[in-house]
Amino acid sequence: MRPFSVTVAVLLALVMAVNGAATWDRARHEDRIRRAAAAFRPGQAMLAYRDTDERRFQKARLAVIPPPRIVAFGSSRVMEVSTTMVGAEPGAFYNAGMSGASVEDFIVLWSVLRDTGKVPAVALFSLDNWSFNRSHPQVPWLVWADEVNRLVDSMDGRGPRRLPRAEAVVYRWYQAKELVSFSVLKTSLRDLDRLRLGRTPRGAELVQSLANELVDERQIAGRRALLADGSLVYETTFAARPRAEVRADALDFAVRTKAGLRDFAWDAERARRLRLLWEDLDAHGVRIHAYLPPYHPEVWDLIRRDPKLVEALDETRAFLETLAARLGIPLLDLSDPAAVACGEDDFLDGNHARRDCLKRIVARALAAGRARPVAAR
Amino acid sequence: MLFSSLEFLVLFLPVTLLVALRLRGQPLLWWIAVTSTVFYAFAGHWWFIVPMLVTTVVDYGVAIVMEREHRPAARRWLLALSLAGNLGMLAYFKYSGLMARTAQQGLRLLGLESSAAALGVFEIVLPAGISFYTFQTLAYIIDVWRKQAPAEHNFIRFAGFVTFFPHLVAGPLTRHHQLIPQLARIAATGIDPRWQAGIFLFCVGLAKKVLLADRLGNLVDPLLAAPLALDAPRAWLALLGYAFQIYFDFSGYSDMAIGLGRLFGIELPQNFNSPYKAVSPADFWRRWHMTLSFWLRDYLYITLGGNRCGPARRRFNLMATMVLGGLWHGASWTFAAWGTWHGLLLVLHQSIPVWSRLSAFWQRNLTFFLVCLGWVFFRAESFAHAGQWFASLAGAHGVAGAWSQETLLLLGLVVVSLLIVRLCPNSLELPLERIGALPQVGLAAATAVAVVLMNYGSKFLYFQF
Repeated sequence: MRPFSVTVAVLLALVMAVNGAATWDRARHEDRIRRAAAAFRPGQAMLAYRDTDERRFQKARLAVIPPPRIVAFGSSRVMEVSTTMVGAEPGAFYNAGMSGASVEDFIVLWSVLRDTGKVPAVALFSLDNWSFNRSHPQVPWLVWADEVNRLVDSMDGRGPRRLPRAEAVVYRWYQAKELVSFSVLKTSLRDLDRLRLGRTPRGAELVQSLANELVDERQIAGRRALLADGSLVYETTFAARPRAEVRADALDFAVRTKAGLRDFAWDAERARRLRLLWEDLDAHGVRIHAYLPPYHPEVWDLIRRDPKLVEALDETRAFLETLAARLGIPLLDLSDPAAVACGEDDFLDGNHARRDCLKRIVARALAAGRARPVAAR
Repeated sequence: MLFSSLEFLVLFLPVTLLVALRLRGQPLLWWIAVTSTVFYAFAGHWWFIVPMLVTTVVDYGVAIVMEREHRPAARRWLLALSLAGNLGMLAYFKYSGLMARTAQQGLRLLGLESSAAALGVFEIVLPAGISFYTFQTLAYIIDVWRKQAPAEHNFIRFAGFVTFFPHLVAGPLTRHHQLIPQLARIAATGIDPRWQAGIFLFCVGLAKKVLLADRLGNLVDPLLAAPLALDAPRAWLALLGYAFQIYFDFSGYSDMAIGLGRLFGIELPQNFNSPYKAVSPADFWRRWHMTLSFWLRDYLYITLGGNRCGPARRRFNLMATMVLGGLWHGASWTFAAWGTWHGLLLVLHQSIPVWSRLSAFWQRNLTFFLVCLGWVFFRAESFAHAGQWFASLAGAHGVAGAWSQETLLLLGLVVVSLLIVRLCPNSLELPLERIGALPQVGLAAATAVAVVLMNYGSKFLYFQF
């Protein structure tokens, strides 16, 4: 058995060495990112946000910001929501939205808040129907797939959450498992390849942006920028596109991808993860408000005329309504732009509302269920 | 806990084995029963152990009382008690949802909407492996009743027979006469592991599961999520991919189970014998999930009369056995349809003499083709889904579409799988104890890759049964 044992041992040791070295280097780098993120102060804006690693950034920012009272979770459709829009005092709101964010991203970001003792009073969720479509590729979250698995397991009651010491041991065990994880190995090999090619480590652009691209909010001058509360300001060239261009963009979105609902197949696993996330937030006393954001009127019109898409929306809404009712969460379905009085001029493209429309949405979402006493849940 | 998980390989197995190596007698059997129960508690929910322990205790007691009882009527009552308990529990956990849904549909067809709604929704979690251990203890009780086997008086040996973790969750369906004497032997002498034969067979199973079944599953599932979007070539590719996925998944699990048994000095029964080399539907069932086939033959088909009746009754026996065998796999009428399909194949194969005039090549390929068609019912989530898939197979949704990189990868995997199932010997035929250095290095490489890949979420298809 010696040839077998030696080969297995050598190969696994090699994988562990590669992953171990890359993990150690990443941890050093994450520290640098966190330090840089801590230097981002209210009143400042970071330019060139389009080219940065949003997931690394948000994780680092949530670890260093003061505890926020309200946190917004969602995809790019929520990213423009700002402190003034929610009517919060400076520092009380943080927008944890990210491009292409899905439930798994929310789980990781929430875990950062929870584990750093920054449990907010209110969580605002902007949910996308396509999140629950297995046929719609949603891959960005896979960069932290192992972490998601660990967190989902612990939220599912399989991890001993009520025993902090045991939880720490389980956490170490998951970290140890990552040494022979394929997804970590892929990332490690890519990182090593970057080093071989003489390129900077992943996320280095973030450190550079935070060092060199921070300006006063008043100096944004029509460029895309991210504010210290995590909210996004679009560049003027995008925000001021003519109506015809926006409409063409919207129709393309509706026809090409069926608004992300093409070949809709219910993603029960993602639904389960959302349930676990909301239950965990609820268990920590966070008041959840959720809404399904509106589509561009042309997109909504096309969706309504397609029975399969209507069925997909119905399935999603039915699940969310049941879950929300069970947890006492106010949920608003604002998929129809008329529901929140948003017209064609209120959209940047097929599914991103402009600030005025977004402001109405947020006001409605946060006002919903406010009268309900928390203890009544 | 999955065999293909680091928790099992790095924590559970070494600890269980190292302690077992130092024990003898009753403590060894206690250790096996307790660790197997712990293993089972991690198979889903901790409460899964409750119905298993109830089955163990009830059948242990019933068998002893039955052995002492000589009045036929009283023995029949005891048998009925055990059957009602075992099958009642299986019916509750596994089939009550199906019955309720079916009754609701029936009431709705009759226009009794309010009565249908009043039935409510049954959402009962199915304890993993309940079908396996229920059938094992049923076989034991029936054999004691038939006076073909003595009752086991040593409770912990009986508990070891029911709970022995290698076979507990997904078989092989092990009979009492296959396992209890071996447990008695290792209790007397201590475990005598067949290290090389056990570890290598486990690794072969692990490679089948992780490197083939899981990869195929990852490529087939997205295709089958939307069967209406499948053109004919991709529909066939998905079918072949699934046929190989389920084979490598289940036979890989069986190999791992048998390999683990060998580490404890116990030989579990063979469960697969290259089923895709079968030359007829009957031959397929002698090679596929053999332990279930033999159980159904011995305790259902023969009980119904088997071959000792006229042709019509024999066909009925065959159909009834296969339909119930299909339903054993899952609480859905699609599984009954799958069983019916195989029942029809068996009946037709017996009735059509032309089959024997075909060459072995054609018999093998025709059997494979017919078995694959049956997998549509097995894999489909509903009859509508199966219908859409059959329509795609017939070209109703196009005969040529764009092939993505994933589809080409699936094609490659299907070709590799076909070559393996047709050209390679069965894993139990491999001379694992005399394997040379180079094949050992190859197996080691496959094992290392499988260990790295197995962290990805994956489940054994047969756990749901």
